[in-house]
Amino acid sequence: MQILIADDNPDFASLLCEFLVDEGYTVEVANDGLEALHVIGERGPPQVLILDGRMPGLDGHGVLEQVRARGYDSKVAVVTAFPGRNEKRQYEQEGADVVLSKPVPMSRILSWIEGLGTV
Amino acid sequence: MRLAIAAAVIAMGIFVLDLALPLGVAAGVPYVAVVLVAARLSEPRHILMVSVACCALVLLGFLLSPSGGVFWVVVYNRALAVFAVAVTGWVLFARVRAGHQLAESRRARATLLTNLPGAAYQRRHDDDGTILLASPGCRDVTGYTALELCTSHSWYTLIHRDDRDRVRRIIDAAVEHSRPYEVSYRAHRKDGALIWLWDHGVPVRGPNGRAAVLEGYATDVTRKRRIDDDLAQSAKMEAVGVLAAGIAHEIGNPLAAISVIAEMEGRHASKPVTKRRLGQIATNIERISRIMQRLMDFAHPATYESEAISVNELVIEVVELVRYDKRAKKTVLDLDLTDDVTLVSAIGDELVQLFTNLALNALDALGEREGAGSPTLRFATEVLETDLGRTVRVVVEDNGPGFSYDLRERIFDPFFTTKEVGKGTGLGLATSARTARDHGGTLRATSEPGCGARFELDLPAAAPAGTIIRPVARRRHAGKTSRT
Repeated sequence: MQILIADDNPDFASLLCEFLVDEGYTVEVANDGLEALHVIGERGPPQVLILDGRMPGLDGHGVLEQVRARGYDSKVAVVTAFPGRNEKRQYEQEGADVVLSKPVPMSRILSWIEGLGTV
Repeated sequence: MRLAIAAAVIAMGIFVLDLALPLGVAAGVPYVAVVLVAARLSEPRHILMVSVACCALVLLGFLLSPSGGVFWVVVYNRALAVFAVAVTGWVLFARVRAGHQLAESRRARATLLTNLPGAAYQRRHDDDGTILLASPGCRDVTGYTALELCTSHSWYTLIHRDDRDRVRRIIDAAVEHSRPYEVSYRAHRKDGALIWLWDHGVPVRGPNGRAAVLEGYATDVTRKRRIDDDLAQSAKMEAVGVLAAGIAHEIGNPLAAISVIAEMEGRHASKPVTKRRLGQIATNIERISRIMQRLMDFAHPATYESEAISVNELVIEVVELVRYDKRAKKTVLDLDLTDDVTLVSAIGDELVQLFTNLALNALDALGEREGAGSPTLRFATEVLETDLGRTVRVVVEDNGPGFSYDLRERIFDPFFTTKEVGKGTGLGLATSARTARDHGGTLRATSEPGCGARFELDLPAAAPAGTIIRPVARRRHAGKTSRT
């Protein structure tokens, strides 16, 4: 399964990447929203997109909008720090499959990804 | 009119006499009497007119009276008469006019003082502030009539005791430097209500050069102060919201990294002690996260559509909830609900949260209560007609230790808490006040130390169902700030 992580916090992104690679997934990391779109443009849409909410350049809302506008059906998890209830709802309306609040246990992300495989 | 006739008759008499007496010996000087009579006329300029007429009669008498005597003596006498009449007329005119002006200015001052929407006063600069003079407006401001104030009250007994020293200091300083003073303070009305007065005056020095009295004006600014306080509180909350959102996001990312590291290390750790410590890191991260999430909920509360809800039902729901709290075991729960319709346009869950916050705070306070009688938590609702329209008021009151005025100023500030470290986040009342504002209402606290605390929530009675409580524009704003 192809996974793309877009997060401007390099520690979080690389640790999550390491963790998911250990679990046997193919993982790509982008450090901001524009880079994420660039990666998607080059390699096609990933099956799973793990998206940070706040990023310089283009934020989670912007990436999500572009992904959905291009008709990609990637499963999207928005992982952002302490979203308010309104913000959560907004991401869901924009097409996020799940909104998780940072800090989030990796096991939570993993169980979500595993859940996708069984559907 | 009778005066005018009398003056005319006297003038005619003098004129006839003047003609009958040769040589002009009398020479019209007696016309002064006519002018004196005319001085009692109501219009000052009539005195001048009478004087001019009398002078004319003197001259006419000179022309018509039979010639005789030494010519220059006659002319001299006539001139003397004209001079006497004119001077008398002018002096009387000036005096009467000054009298009229004085009376007019007194009348104007009285009207102004009577209609002034506040209390103009003169009071002694002594320890009590003995009141010497008060305008009728003092009754609207203080509830006391001017007579009551002047005979049985002093200014300082009106002032709230906590404010007296401050007021004294400000006034003493103004007196010392001979400059005007301006001070706001709380005062007791006759009906017991506590109001805010704005007092502005000047020290007036007596003949010995020392400040003898203070003359000034005091007016009720309670309403304005309340609005100012609400505005200041709103601005403060707005700023805290922006700050909180920024901090939450800045903390969230490093915290997430730490959390991931702890989790990964925990998977590979073999030593039990390492596993335990990593678990402790995770627990503490969770704790920080909970606080931050609560802060974010406070900074950017959710928007839902409101519905018409009966406040009475919500209060009953909360009482049922609170009843089972272990702190409520020995507490008397007193419910005093109005029979009136208490529909408001609101988000039920948020109001339940608000009432629960107030109730749990009261229970905590009652836990610290000392003294006789049962600890009592009272809920009451009433429907009022205020100048803002039909209002539903919810009162949550306890007979616990209460809090001081200084505390009252701060209890709605976020992170302000009197509870022990770790027991409260200090966001309960701040969030409650915000909820009240979001519903177009106000939350106020009153208390005196030792006399319990009373919270009053005023909500506008129901607007049409389906109104969005928070304007959409603001939600967008919230979204933006959370993304930066």
